[in-house]
Amino acid sequence: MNYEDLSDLDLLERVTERDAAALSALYDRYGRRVFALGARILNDPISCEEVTQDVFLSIWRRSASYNPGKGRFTTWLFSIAHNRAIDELRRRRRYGGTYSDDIDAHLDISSDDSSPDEWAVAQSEYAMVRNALDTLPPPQRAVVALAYFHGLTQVEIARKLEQPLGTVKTRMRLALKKLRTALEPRVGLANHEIG
Amino acid sequence: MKSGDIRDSSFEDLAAFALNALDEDERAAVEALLAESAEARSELRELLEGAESLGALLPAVEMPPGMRGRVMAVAGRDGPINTVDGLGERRPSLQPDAWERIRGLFRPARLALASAVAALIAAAALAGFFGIQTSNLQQETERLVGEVDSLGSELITEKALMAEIEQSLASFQSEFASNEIESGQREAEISNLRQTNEALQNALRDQMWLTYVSANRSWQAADWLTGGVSAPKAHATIVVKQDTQEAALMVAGLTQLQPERVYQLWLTSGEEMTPVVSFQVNEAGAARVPFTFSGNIFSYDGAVVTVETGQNSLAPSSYHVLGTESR
Repeated sequence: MNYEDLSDLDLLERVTERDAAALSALYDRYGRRVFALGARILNDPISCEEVTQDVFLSIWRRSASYNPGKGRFTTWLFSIAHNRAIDELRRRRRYGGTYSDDIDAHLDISSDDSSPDEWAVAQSEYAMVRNALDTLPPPQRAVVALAYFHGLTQVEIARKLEQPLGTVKTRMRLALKKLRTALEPRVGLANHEIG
Repeated sequence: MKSGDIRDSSFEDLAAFALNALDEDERAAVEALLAESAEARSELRELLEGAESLGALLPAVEMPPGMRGRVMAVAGRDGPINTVDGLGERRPSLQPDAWERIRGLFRPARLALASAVAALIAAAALAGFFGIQTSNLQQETERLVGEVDSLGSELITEKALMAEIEQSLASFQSEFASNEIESGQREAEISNLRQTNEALQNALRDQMWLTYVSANRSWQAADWLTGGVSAPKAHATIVVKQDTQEAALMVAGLTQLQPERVYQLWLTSGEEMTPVVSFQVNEAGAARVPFTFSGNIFSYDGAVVTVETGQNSLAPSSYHVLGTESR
């Protein structure tokens, strides 16, 4: 059987039946992107590897808890990955770590190992994310970046930006809705391409 | 705050929930809302897709070498795996009830084979009894024979699979037994290391104590005792604090005695031997024995350690293990 041809849901169903080859196929499909998300948030290869391991271990253990009615598989996967990375970032911050305010630092795509083709694709995807972010008014972009990449809570963001908490909540909601609309075609295509 | 207000507030927190930007209390309130509100679940789904966009579209990066194997190994250690395709990390782990399931796989084949054979026999018997030699019956008989052949070969295949699984199980059990032996050896090593550590800690405490009394002017070494023929590696020191008439014997290199026997320290003055204190040594052969004395300890001209058959002997045995040769 060629697992590469199976859809995400088919693979997940097999993972529920403790089929390690299916987990391996999901790892091949999404491992690099999960690792990339961890890298952007944590900027530390060891922690990123731990996060990636935890994410796929969660899939191995909790695949039966995924409900397609609640959202796409990739939404579930990246939600687990993001939560795990942010938890690690906050844990680290409690022990005196710092973070950068530069959102470009989090979207930096430089990689010595990329081939020219991969680099071009990466540039294009980077541009797409940047463009989507650029369509957001700066105040909305700031709250999304502070929450998603820096792991600040909404209360911490309100304090940092010296804005009312209600304003921060509204900006978060509007920003996510706009991002979904702006990036939906690309995300949909990506998911279709890979399964 | 009224329950409706809490509900509205939690609804407003859905975006922060999607970004993992809530504290514990807020998150619990949102989870409660999601449990009861389809509208909230629908809203969250859209918001999560917005958040996913940021993560999913980040370009992939090169991962550390060997990471794939490590990730899969972690999953492999977490529980039984049904296949080892592409992994080779672990053999299938068979629990007792798994054997029942495996046997269950064979039951349909066995039943089908038995049914086919019975049908074949019945058809032949009917044909013989009634003398009916119709082509239809021949065809049906041939079909049934073919089915029996097919089921027979299927059974052979499954038996081969069964043998392979049994071999895997035997290998797994052997590996498990080997691991158990290794585990026992490790435990013994740990026990030895623990004893050694305890002895070293005792020795360190003694050394620290000696360092302390050496550095303190009010304490001074009164005697250095060396081992006799029966305990050539033994040595001891008596340190005293003359103003409070406190002293301690610090001894090492002795062996532990049988329960009814004790070591005893004597102070000597010419031929006269004054009993001081009885003691035992620890597993490392060491002891730190505090005692008090009256008068001036330097009025004695030596010290001896003997082995006695009971506590606080008044007459020393001839079994001397340590002593000062001269002052």
